[in-house]
Amino acid sequence: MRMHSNVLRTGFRLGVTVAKRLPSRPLELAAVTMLNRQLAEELIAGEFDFLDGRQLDIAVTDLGLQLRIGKRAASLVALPRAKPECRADATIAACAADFLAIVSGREDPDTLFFQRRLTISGDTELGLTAKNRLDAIDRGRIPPALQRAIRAMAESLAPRVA
Amino acid sequence: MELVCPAGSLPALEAAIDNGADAVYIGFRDETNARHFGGLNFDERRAQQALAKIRARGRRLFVAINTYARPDRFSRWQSAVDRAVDLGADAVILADIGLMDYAAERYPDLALHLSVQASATSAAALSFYRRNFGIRRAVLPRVLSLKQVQQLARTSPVELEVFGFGSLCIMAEGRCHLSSYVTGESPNMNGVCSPAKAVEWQPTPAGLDARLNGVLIDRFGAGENAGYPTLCKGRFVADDRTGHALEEPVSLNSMALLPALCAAGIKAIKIEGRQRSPSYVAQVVRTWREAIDRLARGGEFHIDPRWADTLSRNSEGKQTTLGAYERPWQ
Amino acid sequence: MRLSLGPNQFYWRRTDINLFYEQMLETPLDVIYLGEVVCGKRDELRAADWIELACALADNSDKQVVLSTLALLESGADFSWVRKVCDNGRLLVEANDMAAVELLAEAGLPFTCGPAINLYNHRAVAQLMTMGMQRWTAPVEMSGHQLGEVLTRLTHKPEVEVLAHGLLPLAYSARCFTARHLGLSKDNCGRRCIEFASGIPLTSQEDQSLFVMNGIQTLSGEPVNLLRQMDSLRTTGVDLLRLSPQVHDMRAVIDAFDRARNGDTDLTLLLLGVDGYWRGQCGFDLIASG
Repeated sequence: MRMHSNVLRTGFRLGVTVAKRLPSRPLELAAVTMLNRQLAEELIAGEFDFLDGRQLDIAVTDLGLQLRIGKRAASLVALPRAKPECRADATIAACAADFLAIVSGREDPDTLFFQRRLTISGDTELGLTAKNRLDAIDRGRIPPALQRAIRAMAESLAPRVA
Repeated sequence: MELVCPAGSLPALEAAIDNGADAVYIGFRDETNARHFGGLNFDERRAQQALAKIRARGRRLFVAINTYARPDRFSRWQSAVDRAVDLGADAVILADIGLMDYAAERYPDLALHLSVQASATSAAALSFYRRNFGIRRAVLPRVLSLKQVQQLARTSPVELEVFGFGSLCIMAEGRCHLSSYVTGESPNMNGVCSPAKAVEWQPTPAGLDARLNGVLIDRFGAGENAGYPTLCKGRFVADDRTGHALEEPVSLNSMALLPALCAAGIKAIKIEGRQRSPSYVAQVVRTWREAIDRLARGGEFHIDPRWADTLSRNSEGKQTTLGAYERPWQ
Repeated sequence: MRLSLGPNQFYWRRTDINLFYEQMLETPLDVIYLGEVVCGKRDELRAADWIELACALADNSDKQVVLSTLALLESGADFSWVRKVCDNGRLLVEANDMAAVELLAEAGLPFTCGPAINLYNHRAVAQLMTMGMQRWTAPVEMSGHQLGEVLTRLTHKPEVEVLAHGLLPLAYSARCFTARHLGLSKDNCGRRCIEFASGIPLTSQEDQSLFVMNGIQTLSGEPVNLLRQMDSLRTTGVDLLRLSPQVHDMRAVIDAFDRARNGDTDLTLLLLGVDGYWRGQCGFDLIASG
């Protein structure tokens, strides 16, 4: 188990290093495609309408990744950033391990927020609504293999002193 | 003792059921409930899914309609009661006398629980609601000491539910206007306290400023834990001294009093946190389930260090307090 | 429009209380509310003393004298206090908690409801009127518009009162903030709130006035002042304007409102204060100058 976890940690660090060097646009598009697939039901039900005409940045701090999300019709879209100084309406930022911990259900986002590991800037209501909406996603619909991978990664990256 | 747990979303409700909730309370997606936050709560379809899950596992579902109805939109609150009845909820949690009057008249068999927002602290107040609207249960405000809870339990005309864990309101619930004084929106009228749209976090060279409608609520140094800028937990100045003049960012945790509360005849323990994630609900509910079960098995009750650790991790500021249950806090 | 003096929120010495109310007899006030509303531990005057003082005031003036009850009941002693006031046998009582409403309604006595009772809509007001409520002071956070919305929907209206001047009672807690500020426990507070006749001001770290700590109560940092809103108060259907006791310049406040109700509004007589709640805004919105 320890061995396994160490491999995962090393793998993750390597991933971080590699990800930093990858061109980000294809990654963003892939991420949004996956989100649209997972959230199809919620999108049709109008549960993401709060994003209409708004821009939300998801910033993975240690990867230097910034995904700018908007919504057109019933789909989320990855918005290109014309200028780096052009700011989104709200930004949710955390490191990759903490995002994984949230997605896997291992950590409560508010707890991370209190510890300032998760930050929300800009329009707080937009940021908190997005946080609440993402919390409300049925994780059972994430493909089991992906769920397992996320869980394993999140566990191996969890701080030793929790 | 019944373990009554919060759910702001379907996954949170599932987490509550899976981890041992006896009852789950939810709100509709509008200002009729006191956690009217973006992205939370249940529309009709979600509420039905919630009820199906509750019934499949033999638990109970309560619907909180615990804000005060506005005169020009009274029908919206009325319709929330109608929807809860149509849904088949096991009880509605109400605070407004006008709405209780409607519910009692229209649905005489509907179980009414008095919300903590009604702030009833004496047998006479409870008897008022019992006599006039036939309430069956009351949730006690977090302002009473253990001794006062025990005394009230001896004379109460209805069964009592008390807070076990969660965000700590230090003011008598339903009688706090701090939020509307600064933001124009209040728990009573709008179902929000210190609304997110008024919140702003500003990074500064020294750390982080938290503002509410422009008012500086707190100033955090680098690396210092940061709380949500709720007015009662801000750092203010009195007599040239800066500090948490009203309260620190902490959560209420009454687990140590579980045996006493049980012996006093308290019927239910409420967990706060419809605004929190499924992960919070799962961890907190599982912990309280284990504690209540251990108490029920008899023998000496002591708090497992793991429980304390889990609850502390899920607290504001990583700290918990017995709050008003314990006299020194007051 | 009638003018009333609300119950005093602060803790003053017995001699100061007696003197204050004696002076109030000489003012154009129509109604005087008195009694302890904040903390059952305050004992310069106990229930029987308040009743005695109230009766003396009633005997010596043609003003209506009303006894107010505690807003937050915690102990059995608090409840006994409220019961004694409700059982006074002579004067009208202002209920500030449902326990008092229950006692008064059960006894078949008429009563008034203070701002700490949560009545936000017509159905709730009508319900309490069937139980004996004759006069209603709206919750402090209710706007003039909303008050109008309630009143237009009522077939029978109670007398309507609005807090028109003074610090707004915003919250009640189990915790005594004054004791905490002084580093004392509530059980050994020594009733030191008597040293703060106007409470303890609380400002933000940028020196913005926010609140006033007064024992277990939190008041607004700035006084509400509806002097500028006389027309809208009248057209909304407000019958009584409540002025909250303050240690300094009470007479000036009463005179300013007395002149205003007689059509001679002079805004320069009082400090600006806030009126956001009445206008449906944040309570602390300052009155727009000019």
